[in-house]
Amino acid sequence: MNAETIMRTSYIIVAAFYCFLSGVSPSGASEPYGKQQEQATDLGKTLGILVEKASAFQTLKTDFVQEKEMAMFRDKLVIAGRIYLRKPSTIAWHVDSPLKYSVLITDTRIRQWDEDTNKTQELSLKKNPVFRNVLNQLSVWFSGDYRSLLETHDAVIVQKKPIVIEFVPKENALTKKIIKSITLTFRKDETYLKQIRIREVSGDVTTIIFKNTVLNIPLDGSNFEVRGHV
Amino acid sequence: MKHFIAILFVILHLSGCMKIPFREADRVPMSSQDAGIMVNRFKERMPVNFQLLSTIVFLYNWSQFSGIGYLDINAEKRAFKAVGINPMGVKLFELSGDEQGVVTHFALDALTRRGDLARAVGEDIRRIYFDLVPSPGAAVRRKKYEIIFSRTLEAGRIEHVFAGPGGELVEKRYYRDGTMDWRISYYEYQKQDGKSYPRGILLKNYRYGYRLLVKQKELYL
Repeated sequence: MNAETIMRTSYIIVAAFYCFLSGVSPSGASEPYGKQQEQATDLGKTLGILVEKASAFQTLKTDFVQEKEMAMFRDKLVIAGRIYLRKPSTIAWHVDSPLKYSVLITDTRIRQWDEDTNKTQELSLKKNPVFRNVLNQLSVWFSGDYRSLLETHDAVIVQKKPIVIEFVPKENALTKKIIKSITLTFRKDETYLKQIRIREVSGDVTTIIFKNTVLNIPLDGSNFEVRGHV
Repeated sequence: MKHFIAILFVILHLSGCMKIPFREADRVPMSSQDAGIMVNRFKERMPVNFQLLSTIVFLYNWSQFSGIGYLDINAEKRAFKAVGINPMGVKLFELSGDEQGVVTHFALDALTRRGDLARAVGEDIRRIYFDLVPSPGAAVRRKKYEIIFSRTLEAGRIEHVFAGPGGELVEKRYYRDGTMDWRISYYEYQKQDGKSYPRGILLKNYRYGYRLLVKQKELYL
């Protein structure tokens, strides 16, 4: 896995994690100063509430449907699967269709498997500094220190009920060339994300819809097993 | 004994080591088939404009990678659009091609650093999805269970092999300088809205020593 793949892949992972974090920078540069301040206060309050609610879990299980609209194609590509997460830093991402694939990411290793090759690959984080960096960032987000995000994104509240927040990479952000915006839609109870939409500069739009999300559910080893997970 | 094991090892490796996950066409006598009618019927069943969602395994030496392929094919215009995506939904490359050439709209640096991705992928897409019927001037050779259409091209010779009760294309193979350059096998034709399409495809590129295993998941007509 090369750096750019990791960056793009991690961006999707990271995007999914946004539901449990909320470190964002007050934005609205084109607005008058007063309104900008008002928005910043609003955003700050909203994020404060979200951080409090969304950080109060240890484990998570959710189904997801990822819809990929590509500018060059007529029909959407749909990928469906499940995510299992255990704090502080273990996540299993299982894809059920159109192919069966699993990846397990921990603080020391990445392990992946797919049904077509029926091979399990394991990568050490020590030998993958880029991935290690990504996971370090995830840890930062989970710990609640969102200062790194403040440096890389502007954000605005698009809607209050349910809460919808749009993040735009800043001019100097590495992802600026790829990502146009990321829009998060929270559930009514604001404890987790309902949907995330990633708009790419290319015109592609990726929407990840989370379903059947359960927090603080007991998870066992099989949830984090990658080989033949189904 | 050591030599025998080594040879066996090489043979197993060259033969693919991987079990083909598709069923071959039933072997039925082809003596009563009219070659021209069979090809025309096959041509009528083939979709011309369609989109395909497939999973793809690329096998090279001991490496295996899998991903999702999304293709838009216009066989009449010999045009295509293709995107390769990793299983987590991350785009790896995006290409389009026609008679004029292939354009890379997006590709990860790591893929383009290793060679001309557009040319390689474009060539394989054309080999797999275009020219599925032999040209009218092809020579016909009959075997008990196969009808083989053969035509000499500028740089080599191409063969289309038809077999099975439905008289379907089961193999395309290309020879250069008397040796097989590449071979594509088509498996398990399925019907959809009056059209027919193989559920499995295996391309073996002998020149460069890689294989592509394509499993069709969805066909959008």
